Amino acid sequence: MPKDLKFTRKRERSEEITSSDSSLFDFKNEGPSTYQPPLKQFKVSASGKVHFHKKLVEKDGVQVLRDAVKFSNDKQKIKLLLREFTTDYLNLLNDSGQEESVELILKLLNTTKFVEIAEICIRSLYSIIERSGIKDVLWRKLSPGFDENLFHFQGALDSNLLALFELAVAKKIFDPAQTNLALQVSEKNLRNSGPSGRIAAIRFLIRLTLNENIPNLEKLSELEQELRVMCDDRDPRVRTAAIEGLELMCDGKSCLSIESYQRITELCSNSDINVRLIALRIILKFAQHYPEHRVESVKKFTLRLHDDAFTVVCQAMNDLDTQVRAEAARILGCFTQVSEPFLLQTLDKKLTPKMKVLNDGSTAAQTDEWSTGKKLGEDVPMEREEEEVQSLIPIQACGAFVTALEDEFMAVREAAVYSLGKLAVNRPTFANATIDHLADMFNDEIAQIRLDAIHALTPLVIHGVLGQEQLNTILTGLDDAASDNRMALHELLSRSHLADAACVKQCVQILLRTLGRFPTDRESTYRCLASIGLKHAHLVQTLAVELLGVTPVFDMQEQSIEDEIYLAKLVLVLNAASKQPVICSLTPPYVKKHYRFLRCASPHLIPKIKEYEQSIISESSVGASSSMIDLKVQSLLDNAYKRMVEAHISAGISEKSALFKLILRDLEAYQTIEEEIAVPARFLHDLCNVMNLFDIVNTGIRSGDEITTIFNIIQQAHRKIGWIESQYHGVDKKILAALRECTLFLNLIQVAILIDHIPNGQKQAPKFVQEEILAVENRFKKLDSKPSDFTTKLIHWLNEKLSETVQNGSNLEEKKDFLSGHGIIAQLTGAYIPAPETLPSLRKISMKSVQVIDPNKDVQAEKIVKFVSGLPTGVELNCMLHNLTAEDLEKFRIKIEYPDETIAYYRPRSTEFITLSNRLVRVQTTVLISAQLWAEASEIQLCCGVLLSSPQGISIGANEYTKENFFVPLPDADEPTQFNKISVKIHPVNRM
Amino acid sequence: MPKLRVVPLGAGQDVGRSCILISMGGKNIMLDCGMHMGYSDDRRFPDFSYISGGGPLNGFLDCVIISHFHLDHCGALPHMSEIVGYDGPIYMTYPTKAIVPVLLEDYRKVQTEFRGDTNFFTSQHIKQCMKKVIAVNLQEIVHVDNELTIQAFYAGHVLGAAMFLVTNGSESVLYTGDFNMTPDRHLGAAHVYPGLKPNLLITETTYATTIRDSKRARERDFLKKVHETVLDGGKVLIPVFALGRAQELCILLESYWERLDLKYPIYFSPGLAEKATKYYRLFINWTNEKIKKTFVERNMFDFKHIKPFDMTFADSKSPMVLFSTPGMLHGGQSLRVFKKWCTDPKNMIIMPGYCVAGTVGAKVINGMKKIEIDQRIYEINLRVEYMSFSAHADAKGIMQLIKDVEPKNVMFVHGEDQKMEFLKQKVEKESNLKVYKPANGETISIDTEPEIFVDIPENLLSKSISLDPTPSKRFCPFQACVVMEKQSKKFEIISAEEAAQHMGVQLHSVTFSEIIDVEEINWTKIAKKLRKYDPELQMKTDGIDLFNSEILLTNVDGESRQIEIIWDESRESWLSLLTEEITRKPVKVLNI
Repeated sequence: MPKDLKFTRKRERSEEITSSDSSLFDFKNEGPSTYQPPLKQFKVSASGKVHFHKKLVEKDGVQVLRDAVKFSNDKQKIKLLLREFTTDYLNLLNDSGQEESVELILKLLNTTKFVEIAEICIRSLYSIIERSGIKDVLWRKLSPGFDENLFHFQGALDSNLLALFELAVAKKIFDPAQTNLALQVSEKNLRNSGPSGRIAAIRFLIRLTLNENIPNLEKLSELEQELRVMCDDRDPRVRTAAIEGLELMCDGKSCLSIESYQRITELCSNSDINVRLIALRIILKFAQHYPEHRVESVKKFTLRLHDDAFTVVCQAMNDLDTQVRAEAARILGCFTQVSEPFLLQTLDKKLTPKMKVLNDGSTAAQTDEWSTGKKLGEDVPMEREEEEVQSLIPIQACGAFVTALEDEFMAVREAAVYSLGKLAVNRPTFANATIDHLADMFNDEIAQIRLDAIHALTPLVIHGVLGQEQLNTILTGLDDAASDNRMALHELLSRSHLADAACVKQCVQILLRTLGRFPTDRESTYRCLASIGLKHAHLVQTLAVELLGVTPVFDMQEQSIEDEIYLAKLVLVLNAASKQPVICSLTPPYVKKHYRFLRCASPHLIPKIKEYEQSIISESSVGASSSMIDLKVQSLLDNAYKRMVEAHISAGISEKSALFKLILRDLEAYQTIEEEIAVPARFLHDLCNVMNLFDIVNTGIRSGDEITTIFNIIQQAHRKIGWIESQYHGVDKKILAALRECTLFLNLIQVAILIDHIPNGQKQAPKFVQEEILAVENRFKKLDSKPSDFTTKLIHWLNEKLSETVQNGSNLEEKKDFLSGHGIIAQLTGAYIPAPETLPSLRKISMKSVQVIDPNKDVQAEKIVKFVSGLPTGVELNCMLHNLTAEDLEKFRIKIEYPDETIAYYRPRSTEFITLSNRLVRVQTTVLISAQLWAEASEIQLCCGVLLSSPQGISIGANEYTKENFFVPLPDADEPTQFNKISVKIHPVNRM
Repeated sequence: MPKLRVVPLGAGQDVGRSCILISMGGKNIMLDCGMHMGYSDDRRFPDFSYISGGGPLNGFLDCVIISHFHLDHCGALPHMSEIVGYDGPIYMTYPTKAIVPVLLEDYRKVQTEFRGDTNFFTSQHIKQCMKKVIAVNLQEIVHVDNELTIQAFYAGHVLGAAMFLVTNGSESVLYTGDFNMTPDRHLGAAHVYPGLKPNLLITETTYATTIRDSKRARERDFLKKVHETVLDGGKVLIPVFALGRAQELCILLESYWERLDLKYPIYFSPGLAEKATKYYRLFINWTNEKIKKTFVERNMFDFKHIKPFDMTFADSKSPMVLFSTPGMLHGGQSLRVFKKWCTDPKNMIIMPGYCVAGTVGAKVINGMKKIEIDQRIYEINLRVEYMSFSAHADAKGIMQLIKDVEPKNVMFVHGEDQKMEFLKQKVEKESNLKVYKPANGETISIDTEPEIFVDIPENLLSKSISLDPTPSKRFCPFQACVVMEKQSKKFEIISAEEAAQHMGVQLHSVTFSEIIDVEEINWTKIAKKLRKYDPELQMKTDGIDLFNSEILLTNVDGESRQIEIIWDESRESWLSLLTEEITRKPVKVLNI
């Protein structure tokens, strides 16, 4: 259907133009008012169908150009035709068309007397070459055309011409013989033409010099000099072009020569924003390249270049433009070698003593002429100092970080927070001074910055030791209402080194207090306390007695294990005890019982404590050590797996189902045991199911079962495979590969059935098979493994059949046996899921799971969300996702089930996922729900999960293959055998 | 020489009753019209008789500009316009226009109803005065008449505060009013266009000798002190003015209370303050990034924890925080509550800003232990904290503004003489500017350069541009003759050649020559180097002709290593560049 084709192609092209970077040569600015779209030449035929005008079908771009050449004297006509060419045809030219067009345009260029036309011509050439696949051929055709006679336009074309040359150089099709001519043109324009000419000349020179494979140092140096001068140009656009060139020159390892440094520092206060931005970036390159070089500063002191550059960037913190300030704040973080006094100066708006130099060269004493404004009356001016004091840096550069952290705009503050953290990581003194400033950011009005501050502080804390003072500041963040901030702070605290027992005590107290206020923090608080306990075992030792309330005289009443506060303390003490066994002797006897309980209930929180373990062994008669138990469990699982695989591969049809039934029963039993076994068992259960289903399908086909039954079973198998893929974390690649093969087999069986049973099936089959093969190959590439021999052979066979189809093309009907249903089935005989013999990683498998924090199950029971029917409303949802990969997050959906059995999926925004650690993601979102009027409140079910699309699953629509999406709910983190489920009571009411 | 004259009627070497007269190009402008808090007699208003000798001001003033709504900047406005008499335009920003009448009415009430002042402006006066007000938008250029324009810039400080650029012809003055360079919880930082370069910058200097440390540390300090006091069962009194800092501190405490979920009551003087907060809610686009972004969900000025105060609460035993007006403890509720609370050492008073000398507030801050109020001696036992939450720029901010604005002269007002002197020396040393700090009634005059606009023929212009060898084209030498036509008295620019032709005289040209040493003479090479400066240079066998013979390079007879450069006087500046270009050796490249 050529008609449709033309349409779509045209549309594609227009998109392309708008999206392409807007160089000098975009045609989108060609005023559309005069442009006459060829659509006008449509004509409605008698039958009422739209046809292209005959003329248009025949006409092509080359023809338009030919016409243009004919009217060599009619300016308007040529313009119109050229415009038609550029807007409609330029992008559709094939190789020969391009060649011919170039020739024609060149002809036009040489004959025309009008500058305007010549300009359009050169721009068209640019566009053709830019898009062409045979650039070199075109350029060879073109280049002899450029000679002196082109310049009878007196330089009016120069900027366009230079851009064309630049393109040629960039695409490496430039003929070195032309260099002289091009250089002449560019030199002519460099100083003496309008801004566009100067810009084009600069860009060409940059491209010419930088594009050489072996950089010519002499030329580079000349270019640098030239650009340095041009950075002074009166037009900001020219300045920008020049400094962009300089930035390109110090890309990667190379840097500008040291002579340019002074010039660039001056440019940091240029009137143009872009120039300032780039200058700041180049300054950083200088600082990294020549850190120890001595330079003269603004204040006429000799400083290290690194320090001086740092000062320059500090000054930019006062820039009037937010963008520049944000960039400066970001760049500050990259000055890793700056000297300490300069760094400390960034935290004080007043000059620090070390920054003041007396006339004799020594630094000033500890006097300060400015008041801080903290006391009234303090700001009476001081007596003038006897000695004339010189400041080492301008006062504007002082307190760069203080200014940045106070900035009005979040972008600046955010960058500053990160830079501050980065600079402080390896400098203990500076880090100490920084902690206060970062901790102050916990008070920021924007939640994201508070979070950033905590993140920035985390690495600092690892290096240093937190004292009482700093802890005081940091702990205020624990009262924050935003749970992200508290979680991040827990993370920070669990990595910190506390100075003394008082600090630990304070920390624990505040943690316990917030635990009362924010019950949702329970898990995170426990984890935090656990690692505090592990890190500061010796300090906890002195506190243990006090914390647990042990009295030396009386026997204690056993504390309730349900008590959260007690539990929190216990977590801390037990963790410490694992490092400091002495603590065990201090604890009351019931702690041992609690230990055993906790050790079973949440082993990740409570480490093994030898003292207690020993006593357990001596008391109980179960003599097996834990490693023995581990071995046993391992062999149990391995055994089950082995039986499964054996049954699948070698057992006879009749035995199979019986065997599988037995294995499944065993595995179901294992699932009721503790989590360590339950998860792998559950995985094996699913896997076993898949094998079973696959075998059922295979036997079903051979014994001629109902198609719909087979399809249903295949559907089931697909679903199970999908579940395995998206519910478990850490599954062996081999298994995944095997499952993918299984999917292929199942899909092929479906195709086979369809070919035989559905009219038109044969026509669609090749397309589907092809897609299927492609998908399989992609998947294997991704998994980085190879398909089994059986599958390789199968794919080979399919490919052969497919190529036959292509050769035979349209007369498919005649060659019916090329890809027939029974053919495929025959090929699939003896197919089985090639699962590996053993699965060493079985124990490492964990569930991808969801832990719903909000809506809280207990609270939600009483709360009813009321809203106007038909309008959407939001339900706040807050949950933790365990073990989900980035790919899973893409597919993450929240399923909303309404009582009227309609189902909706809600996808959270990508910004609403916050990665807490590499296996823990928090999602906090507002799920939109909406419903029609109900008489009374009713429940809707929310469920988090993954929405899978192909390659699993095809079902039969009327006569078509369709691929179906299906939803895999994720298990609940607290009860891995259950799926997560949240019910919310809603009540849509009538709108008033 | 035209002169720009400035005389402060108030706020010269003083804080209070800001009122500055400027006179430029025959236009007279009054900047601010405020009252003084320290006086209750005639001195509270500026001396308007200075302008007109006692009569109405019409005809003496072209316009009045009010920078923001604080009474020391607008308190005398109805007095000036209605009692003294002025019917011309009064300019202020929209929020200022909304809030000013509320404050004036309140001020009038205090003066007439509590103090019994009879010779004072009435509500009717305020209404009539407000009718003369023209509201302006930020950055909008308002034409007062054909020549005089004003333009407002964001100043931070309080809601609606603006700096004003007053331009008359080629002369301009930037008046800052009160401004703040540090953004805070509800307002952004002052912001001007880069490179305004006015003839004069009139800036406030309340904190001329202070450089504040981090605002964040101050906030933390404040919150900690308040929190500690209420924890110990004490009461916290924070005297504030109804608008400005009050809102800032309210937001700060409100968000802290919310963050920590504290239950102690916070009160706010009812009435005026409540009304004022409404305006903050309304003019949300004048506030900062965060508030603008989130007000759809929750307007920051809808306080959850802060409730209106009732005087009966003052005797309650339980801890509380009270924001009370006015700010300098010079009367009203603040003083009444202070009298009740000042004897208990558990209580605390936080003075968040500046206090004019002589007020009770100033005495308290100065640490006096016994203060006489209304003929009674009070023992001061409560803790006194002073914290500069004032929204004025500090010395660093003032210097930063001077750097951003690039004025030709600077004048200090709204500050204390001694402190101004200190900053004056700093500024003069740092930025090489003349700084003035006149006292009230003292006139300063600044010479400005007259400007006349004449059309220049295009060829002369491009010639001039081409004479500057640098790409920046900053110093283009310009040579031409100015001709004035007798009848129309209009100027015309013609080239020297044309002028010579008119007058029938011959032009002489002055040329210079110099001989330079070179390593070798290769005209092709030299021409290649110079072509970028003059693409149309002509190469001859014995030399090069540049710029249409304005520069010639030629052989020196008998010398193979010397070149003679002959240049026209107008090309003088090119000499060094060309010599350098000709004699430059190929660049040596160091491998680093």
